[in-house]
Amino acid sequence: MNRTEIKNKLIDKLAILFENTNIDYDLLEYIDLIDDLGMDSITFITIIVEIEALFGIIVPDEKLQMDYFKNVCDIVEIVAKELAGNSGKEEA
Amino acid sequence: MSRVALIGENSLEYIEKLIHIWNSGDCAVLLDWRIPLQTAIEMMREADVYKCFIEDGLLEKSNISFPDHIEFVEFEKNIVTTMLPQEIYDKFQHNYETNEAVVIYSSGTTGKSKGIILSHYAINTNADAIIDYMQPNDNDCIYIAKTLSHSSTLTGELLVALKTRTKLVIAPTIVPPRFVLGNIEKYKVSIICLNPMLLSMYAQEYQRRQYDIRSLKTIYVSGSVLSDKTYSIAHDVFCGINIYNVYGLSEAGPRVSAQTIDCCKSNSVGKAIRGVDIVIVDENGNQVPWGERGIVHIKVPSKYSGYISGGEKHTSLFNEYLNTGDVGYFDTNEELHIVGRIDDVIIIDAHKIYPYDVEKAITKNTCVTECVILKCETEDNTFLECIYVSDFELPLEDKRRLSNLLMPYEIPKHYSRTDELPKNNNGKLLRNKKLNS
Repeated sequence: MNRTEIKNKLIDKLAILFENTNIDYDLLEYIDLIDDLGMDSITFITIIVEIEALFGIIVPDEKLQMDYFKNVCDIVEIVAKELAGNSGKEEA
Repeated sequence: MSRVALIGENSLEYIEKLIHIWNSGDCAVLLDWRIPLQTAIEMMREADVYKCFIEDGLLEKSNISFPDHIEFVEFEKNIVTTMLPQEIYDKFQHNYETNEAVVIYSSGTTGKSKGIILSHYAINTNADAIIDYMQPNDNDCIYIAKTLSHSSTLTGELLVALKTRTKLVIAPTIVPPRFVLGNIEKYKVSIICLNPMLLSMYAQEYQRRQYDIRSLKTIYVSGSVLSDKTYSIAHDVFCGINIYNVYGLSEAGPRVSAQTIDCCKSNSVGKAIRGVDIVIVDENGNQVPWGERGIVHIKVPSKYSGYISGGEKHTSLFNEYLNTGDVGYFDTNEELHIVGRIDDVIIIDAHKIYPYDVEKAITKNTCVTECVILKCETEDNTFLECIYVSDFELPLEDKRRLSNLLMPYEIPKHYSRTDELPKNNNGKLLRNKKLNS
């Protein structure tokens, strides 16, 4: 799975999780989940659970902090790295 | 005695700093590290704090200017899961003095958080009463899953462990359920304290994946009213593990009542713990007949010393007992049930309506998974509205069924379906928050 595919799947998932904020789907890629959407600890934990199930990964313990999940780009990097670690190679 | 703030995620360093503050004769002002720093500084000003121990990294994130009269001292942040080492137990000193030990900020749903002052006598007496029913032994291991800045965790878990030298696992708190269940397995945890939200999440995870949690003997649940549905699911999923509700409020130290092996027949909050007396009174301060609902009042040896800002939340209606602001009743087994807040009671045409009762009837007898009952007022009419979560619109036959279960004035006149009800991190329903229907 390349980064674009990861990003698209992730945004689809975040759109559902942040549905109540009425955020425009197209803006999700660019905004700060904490400062702009008010992501709290429960939402953060839910995101972790959902992306681990969605991508079949385990987020490393050292990355289990809200600061590493501030935006789509950061989350895509984490997912891509774990997928690469699982498959033994990294895609662009 | 001076007040020293402490801000940080759960860690060994946090606990060391807390004990250091106590051993220096000072009072620890415990602030949740997730509070915006500007707000925390205002809280520190209000509490007349002169020094703040703050976890490494929290200061860098902010662009605010710092007040000159507060000395900020950073301490190292180690996000690891670890057992509390012996040297920390050795540093802890038993203290029953009446001077200030902590200022704790309540996590309630209404109004601004109040700084609650608790003495060493209050928190140590309350911890002793908790030890009395929890009865931890040398084989036990307590896992802290919630922030140490809350009274329930501080008194009911950390102090209990320090006083009895029970093994204690300290770990980050904002973690997925698999992290905690994995640690229960790894550290052979026997006791854990959760709120309803965490209990529900861990139950879902445990159904998804297998963990060896045979060491786990008891789950204590507090923080908000546990729904019958979550209670039932948790008992099914964690079969063989005792799940006990406990109840209290920070102003009481915090623990007031607990279920134990002898009193856990239903989704009650158990019986009064050692040294506590509970009465239920009406608005005139008269004790209500057994089984009837009223305002819960308590007499506790671990009562708070006051609020930072002064005043009191609810006026006592009975013999200077502490008015909890909660509505409850005793069942036939003399166990206390909490049905909601007095502020939530709805009066329509002189009828008193407890939203919790109506919500419970709806979720138990219809397709609705959860709901909130609100009072709606128009120019000509006052009625109940039900905002509910369900996979589909509430069918007519479900609505009709309610007419056989509820009083006419309890039946909602209007129903609105929503995707989610607003709750705080403890799972407490935020009744006053505007709902997107």
